[in-house]
Amino acid sequence: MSLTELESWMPVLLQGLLVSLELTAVASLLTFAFATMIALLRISPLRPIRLVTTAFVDLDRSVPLLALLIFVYFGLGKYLAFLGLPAFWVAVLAISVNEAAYLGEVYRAAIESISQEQWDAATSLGLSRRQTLALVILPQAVPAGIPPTVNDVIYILKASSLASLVSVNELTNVSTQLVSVTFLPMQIYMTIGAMYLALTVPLSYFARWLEVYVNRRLGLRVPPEAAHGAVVPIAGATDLSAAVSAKDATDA
Amino acid sequence: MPDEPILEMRGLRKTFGRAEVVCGVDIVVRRGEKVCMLGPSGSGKTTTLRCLNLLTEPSSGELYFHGQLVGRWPSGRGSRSAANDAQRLRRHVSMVFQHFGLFPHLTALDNVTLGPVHVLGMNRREAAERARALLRRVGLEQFAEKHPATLSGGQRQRVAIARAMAMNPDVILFDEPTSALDPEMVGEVLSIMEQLASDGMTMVIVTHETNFARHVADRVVVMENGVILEEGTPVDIFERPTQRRTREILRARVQA
Repeated sequence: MSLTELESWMPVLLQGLLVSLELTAVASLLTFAFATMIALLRISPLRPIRLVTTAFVDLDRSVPLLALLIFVYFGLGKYLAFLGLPAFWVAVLAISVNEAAYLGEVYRAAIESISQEQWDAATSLGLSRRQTLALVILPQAVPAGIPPTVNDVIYILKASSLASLVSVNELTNVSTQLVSVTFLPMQIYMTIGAMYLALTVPLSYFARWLEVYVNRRLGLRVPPEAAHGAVVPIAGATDLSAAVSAKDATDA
Repeated sequence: MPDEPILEMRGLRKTFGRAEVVCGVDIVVRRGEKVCMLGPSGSGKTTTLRCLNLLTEPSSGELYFHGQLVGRWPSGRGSRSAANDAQRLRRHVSMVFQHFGLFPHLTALDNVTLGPVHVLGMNRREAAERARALLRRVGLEQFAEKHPATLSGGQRQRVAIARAMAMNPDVILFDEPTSALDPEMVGEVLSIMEQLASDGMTMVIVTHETNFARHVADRVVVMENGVILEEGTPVDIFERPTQRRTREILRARVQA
């Protein structure tokens, strides 16, 4: 493979990379919004709301992302065409709805990790439930939710490659097209592998740094392993307890 | 009116699942009174205290605040209006917890101003000024900008007392305020409470500190197995209790 060859693919790959990044950014924002909604509904004082949300989460988590994507794009294709929804947005919606169920459970666990005494103390001051959540509980739950959120962005970036199967021209799709004209699968796939890697590794370091930073800003205790700068990325961990046991395993 | 009842609970019962924790307690707290509740662990003192500001909802009973009915249980009312009434009551009834319940993400000062700003609608500057004055009263003015994690247990509990006072409450409920403290820090918290008592604050105190109860209380309530065993002045309870169990409970406490 010559340098000029590489140069000639680069614009095409970068164009694909840009679409991947757009897809990741939009899907991450939507996932974050849906997940926050799910977490708050899951701890609603009203039982029917909790039940409906729980059912939705369970259903959503039981569907593989790829299957969901294919179902929405091909199964509902007729109606989507009617709505004029392009493949890009189909992928965004499928990814964020699917991921939100996981991240929402992580957020719920983070909220529920705040002790009952904090609720009691806030309630005894005469704060309403909403004020207690906004002023006392959520600010303390946020640091625990940050590393899983950034990890989820990493996961979404990787999941965005699935959009290639529903005709979105993101990085994986354009590279496959390139392979079909150049017949250089190893070189091209290694190039895009390096691109994904260059994005995900800094993100997991950023997650750890952000957690320490936020804890300091809020005056909370900094986890010792984070304070010493040791980075233990928990990629793919889907709930706090899994994250904790994964971390314990690494620490041991 | 010095004898005016501030809080009055009639026929309080509380069950958790099948366990009846409080089985028929009547309690009246009058203006300026210091009521100490003693009794072995699991006797229902803390549950009774938590029912006084409805942090725990009674299973049955009636609660009056300044003679006005706050609620009657079992209640057929919608949970929303009951929640609103409970929230209004709590503006006037502060609480100090065994494990302090300070908000770790806020400075000592912000812990004290949170209620006045967000519940009483006080402006931030005024609330901060009053909070500083209260922190000075509990001897912690220089720690105003510190977070709870950097304070000792005794200091945290003093901040918690300042936070309770900041609401300008009619009564402060104390749930074993010194039980989680190292022995050398108990004194500083008790002396703040004594000072508060001599300023005329109405206080209900669940405690194991019999000496404190003897010196500060106007009335001592001894509970066991969810009922009031005996109730009276400290002299009555400590010098000439009518129940043998009272004497045993108090003796066990003094020795412990």
